[in-house]
Amino acid sequence: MVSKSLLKIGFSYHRKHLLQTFLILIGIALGVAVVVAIDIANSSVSRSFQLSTESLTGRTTHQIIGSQARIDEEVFRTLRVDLGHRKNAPIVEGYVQIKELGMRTMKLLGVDPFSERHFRNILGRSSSKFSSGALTGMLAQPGKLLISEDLALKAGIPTGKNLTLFFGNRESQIEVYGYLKSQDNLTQQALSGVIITDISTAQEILKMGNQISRIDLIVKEGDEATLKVIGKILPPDITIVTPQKRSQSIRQMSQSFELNLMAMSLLALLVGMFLIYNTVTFAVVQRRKMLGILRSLGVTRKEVFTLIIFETIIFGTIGSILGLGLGVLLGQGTVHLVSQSISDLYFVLSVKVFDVSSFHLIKAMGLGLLASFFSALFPALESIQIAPVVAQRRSSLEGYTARMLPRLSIGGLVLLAIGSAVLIIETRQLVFAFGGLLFIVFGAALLVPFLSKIIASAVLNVFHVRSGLGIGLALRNVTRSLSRSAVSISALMIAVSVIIGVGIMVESFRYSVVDWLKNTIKADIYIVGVNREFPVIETSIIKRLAEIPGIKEQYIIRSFKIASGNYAGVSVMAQDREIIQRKWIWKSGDKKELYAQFSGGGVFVSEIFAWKNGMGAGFGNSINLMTKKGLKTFPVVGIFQDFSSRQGMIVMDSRVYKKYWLDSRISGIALTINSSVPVESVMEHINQKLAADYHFMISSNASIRKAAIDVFDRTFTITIALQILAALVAFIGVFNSIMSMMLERTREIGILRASGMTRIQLWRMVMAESGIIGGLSGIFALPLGTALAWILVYIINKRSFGWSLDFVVEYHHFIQALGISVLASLTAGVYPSYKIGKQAIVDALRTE
Amino acid sequence: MRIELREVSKSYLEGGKKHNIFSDLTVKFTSGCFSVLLGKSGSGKSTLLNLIGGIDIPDSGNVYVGNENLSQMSDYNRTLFRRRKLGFIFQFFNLIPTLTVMENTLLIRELDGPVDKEQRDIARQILVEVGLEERMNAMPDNLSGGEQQRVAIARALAYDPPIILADEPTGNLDHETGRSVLEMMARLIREKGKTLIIATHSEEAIAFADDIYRIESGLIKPVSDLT
Ligand SMILES: Nc1ncnc2c1ncn2[C@@H]1O[C@H](COP(=O)(O)OP(=O)(O)OP(=O)(O)O)[C@@H](O)[C@H]1O
Ligand SMILES: [Mg+2]
Repeated sequence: MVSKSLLKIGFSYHRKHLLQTFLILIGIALGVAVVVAIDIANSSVSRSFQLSTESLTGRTTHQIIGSQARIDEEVFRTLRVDLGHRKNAPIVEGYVQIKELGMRTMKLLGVDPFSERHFRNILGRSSSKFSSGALTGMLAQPGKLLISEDLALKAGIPTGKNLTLFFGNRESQIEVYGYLKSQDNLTQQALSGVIITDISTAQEILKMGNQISRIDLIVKEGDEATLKVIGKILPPDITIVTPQKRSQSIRQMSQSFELNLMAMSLLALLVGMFLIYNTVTFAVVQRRKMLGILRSLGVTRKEVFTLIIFETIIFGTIGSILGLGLGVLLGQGTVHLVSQSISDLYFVLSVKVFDVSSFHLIKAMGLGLLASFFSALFPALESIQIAPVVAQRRSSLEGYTARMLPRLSIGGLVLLAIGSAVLIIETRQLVFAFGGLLFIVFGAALLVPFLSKIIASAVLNVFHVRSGLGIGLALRNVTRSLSRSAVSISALMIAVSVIIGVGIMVESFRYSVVDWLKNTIKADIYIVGVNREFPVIETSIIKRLAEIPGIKEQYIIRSFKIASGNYAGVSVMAQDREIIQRKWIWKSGDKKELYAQFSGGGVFVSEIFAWKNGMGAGFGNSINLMTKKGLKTFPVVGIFQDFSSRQGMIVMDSRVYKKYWLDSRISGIALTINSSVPVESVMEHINQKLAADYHFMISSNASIRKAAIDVFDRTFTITIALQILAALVAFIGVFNSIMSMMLERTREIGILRASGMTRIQLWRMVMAESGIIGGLSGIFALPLGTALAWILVYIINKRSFGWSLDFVVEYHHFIQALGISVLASLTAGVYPSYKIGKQAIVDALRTE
Repeated sequence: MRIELREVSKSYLEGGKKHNIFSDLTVKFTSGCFSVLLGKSGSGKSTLLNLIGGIDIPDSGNVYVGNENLSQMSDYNRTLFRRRKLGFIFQFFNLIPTLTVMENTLLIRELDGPVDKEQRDIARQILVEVGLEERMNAMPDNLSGGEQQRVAIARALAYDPPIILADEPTGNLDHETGRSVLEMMARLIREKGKTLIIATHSEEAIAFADDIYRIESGLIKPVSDLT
C-alpha cells in the first residue's frame, strides 16, 4: 500500500489541477456510461422479450406449430376427439394496436376458456373477487376482452368501456369485460402486454378464418409415446416443439444486432481510456521533478508505481460511479431506441421493461476500474524510470523518446500486421474482428510519433519555415516534445477515426439500402394483407382491381414467414413474375438460364439466408423445406442482395409454391399504373371501391421507401450518438493535453514573455500549436478512420449480419473529420492560451 | 541610459497579510556601468530587477528607463520595450528547450519579424564570441550548465539592447564555471558599452563591478567599502 503522506503529496497535485482532475473523471464516466446504457438496453430487450414471449407459456411443455404459423382447427379437433388427448389448449395470437393506449402494440391472445386453467396461472375478475373460475366464466363471453388490472388502473380503463383495436387498417371496437391478474410475478408482468379474448373473437379480429396459431400441450416428461402418437396425426408441415426452443430461435434473430451494439459501446470505452491515459501521463510527467525528489529521499520504485496506480484507481472509482449514474439516465433513452429498432427489425416487444440490476452496475464498475488500471499502467511504468535526482532534465526524456522512435514504429507495424492477420481469419466470432480492430488502432497509435515527426519536419523544410516563431516555433514544439504531443495527437486521432469510421459505415449502409430500395420497390402501388406474419387477401380482388382504371399491370405475390424448424423466421415469397431488379451476389447462369431453372423449381435465396446457412457462391446448394407434401429439396439457383428480411428470404415461382403448399391464396399485389394517372387518385379509387370488401394495406412506392429509410435511420440513431460522444471525448482530450502542455511550459512561456513576446504572439503560438495537433490528428485519422470503416463494413457487419454493402467513401466525411479535429483543438487552445497570457510573468518565472 | 526608481513601493500579499518588500525606494543606476546588487536571499534583489525590467509593476512610484516611465506604460508597450531595450539572463532554464542554440539566440530578434541573413550573421558572430560556434545546432538540454548560460548571454546581446539584467546568472554553476561566465559577461558588456545590473549573493561578481549596492530590509545602499 501507499503511505498516507505519499498519498497526500500525490493528491495535492490533483487539488492544484482541479480542472484536469475533473476531466479525468469525465473521461472515465463517459466511457462507463455508454457501456452501462447499452448493457441496460440489451438486457432490457432480453427481459422484454422474455415477458412478451415466454412467460405466458405457463405449464406448457410442448407446442404444436405449423411452418406457416397457421393450423387448421381440424387438427385440434382430431387431437381432442379422435385421439382423446385432454391437456391441450388452442391458441390464436397476433398483434394489435390500441387507440386508447396511444396506439401501443399489444399481443392479442385468443384462448379456450375450458383448457386454460391447466396451463396458465391467470385469474380473472368481472365483478367481485379474482379467481381462476371467474376467468372461465369471463372467457365464455364472446366478443369481449380482458386486460390486466395493472394496465387498466394505470390507463384508467373501467370495465364496460370499449377499446378501439387496430389490425392493419382495420378497426374494431371491443368491450372490456373484466380484469386479469396473476399471483406469479413473471406472468403478472407479462399480462401488461396482453389482451385476452376467446378463440373466435381473436380469429375475427385477426382475420384468421378457421385457423389457429398453435396448440399448447402438457406432456409428462419422458412420455415420448404420447408425443409420437400426436406426431402421427399431424400434417407434414406441422410439428411439435418445446417452447424454449421456439423462443430461442426467435431470440437469436436480434442477438448479433445487440452484440454489435455492445462492441460499439466498448469502442466508446476505448476512446475514454485514451483520455485517461492522456491525463495520467501528463500527471506523471508534470511531477517528474517531485517524483525524482521523492525517489532520492528513499521512496522505492514500487511505492511510486503504486502511488500512480492507486491515484488512478481512486479516480476510476469516482468516475465509474458517476458513469453508472449517467449510464442509467442514458439507458432510459437507449432502451427506447434499441427496443424500437428490435421491434422494427426483428420481433414485437409487447412488454417493455427497464431492466437495471446490480449485476450491470458491478460489471460496469469493474470495467471502469480495469480500464483506468490499464490506462495508468504505461504512465506508471514510465514513472518508475524516473531517476532519483533533483532536477531531471527534460531532454533525457525527449532523448529517450527519440531513441525509442524506431522501436515504437516497428512495434506499431507489428501490431498492424497482427491485427490484419486476425481480421483475415474467417470466423463468425466477432471477438476476433474486434480484437483485430483493437490491434489496428493501437498499432496506428504507435506510429503517430514517427509520422508526426516526419510530417512536421517536412513542412519545416519544404516551406523553409526558418522563423522560430509562430508556426515555426509551434511546429518545433510539436516535433521536439513528442513525448507529449504524440500522446495528444494519437488520442485525438483515435476519437476522430471512430467518427470517420462510423460515419462511412452508416453512409455505406444507407447508400446500399437506398440503391436496393430503388431496384426492389419498382411497382407504383403495393397492396398487402394485414397480417405481418401471414398476410392474406382474397383472390377475387384481382378481378376487382382489373376494373379500376389506370392500373397497368398486377404482380401477384404470396408470402409468409416460416414459423418452425431450422428456417424459422425466414420469409418465403412466391411470385408469378419478376418485377424486382435483383442485384446478384451469385447466379447459376445467364438471365435466361437462371429464370428457366427458377420456373423449373429452383429458388433464389437472399444473401443473409445464404450466409446464415453456410451457402457460398457456386453450384450444388440446396435447401430442404417442409411443405404440405412433406420435406422437399429445392436447388438454390441464385443469391441476391436483400435488406428487407434480417432472417433471410427464399423466393420461388408461384407455380412451384402452389404445387407443394397446395395454397392458392395471395398475400399482396404490386401494381404498376399508367404514367398519365396520378398515384394518389388510383390509391383513393382502390380504397373507395375495395376497402369494404377486402382487408388490406395500401402504400405507394414513395411511402414504402420512406418507411424503410426511416427504419434505417432509427436503427442508426445510437451509432450517431456514439459519434457525438466520440467528438465530445476528442474535445475533452485535446483540451486536457493542451492545457497540460501549456502548464508544463509555464516557465518557458514566462521567459518568452519576459523577452518581449506579446500576448497576441503568445496566443498565436498556442493556437498554432493546437492547430497543428488537430491537423496532424485529422490527417492521421483519415486512413485509420477509413480502415475502421472498411473493417466495420466488410468484416464486422458482414460477419454479424451477413450483408455485403457497397463501400461508399464520401469526401465530406474527411472534410468533416479534419474540421472536427482542427476545430476541437483550436477551441481547446482558447482557454489555455487565455489563461497563460493572463498569468503574471513574475509568477511564471518563479515556477520550474 | 538612465535607470531610475522613484519612491517605489512594492508588497506582496501572503496568506492575506501584506508583506512589504520596498516602501518609497529611490535609486539611480549609472548608465554604461556594471552594477552588482547584493543581498540575502529574500531581500528583494529579483523583485528590484523585475521592476526595472517591466515584468513586474510597482504598487506606487515610478520606474524610469531611458525616457520612458514603465509604470505608466500599457502591457503591450512594456512588452515591446523589453524586447528592444532589455536583455534578460536568469538563473536557470533560460532557454527554450525545443529550439536549437542558434534559434534561441535569434529568438528575440524574431519576435519583431522574419530575420534576414545579416541578422543571422550577427547572431553567429555573438555565438563565436561566447565560444559556442561549434554547438550552434545543439539542443539546449545537451549543453552543460555553463554553456547554457553562455547561450543566454548571447541571446541577451543578440538584439543589441542597451540594458542587460541578470538575476543570479551563475547561481547554478560551480565556482570555476561561474567565474568564467561572469568574466565573459563583463568583457562583452564593456566592449559593447551596455548597462548591466546583476543580482547575486556571490561576492565573486564584485571583482568585475563598477558599482555595488546592497539591499537590506527594504533599503538599497551603495557599498563602497568591501572589507
Ligand atoms: N509573487 C510573489 N508572491 C509573494 N511573495 C513574493 C512574490 N515574489 C517575491 N515574494 C517575496 O518577496 C521577497 C523578495 O523576493 P525576491 O525574489 O525579490 O528575493 P531575492 O532577493 O531575489 O532572493 P533570492 O536571493 O533567494 O533570489 C521574498 O520574501 C519573497 O518571498
Ligand atoms: Mg532572486
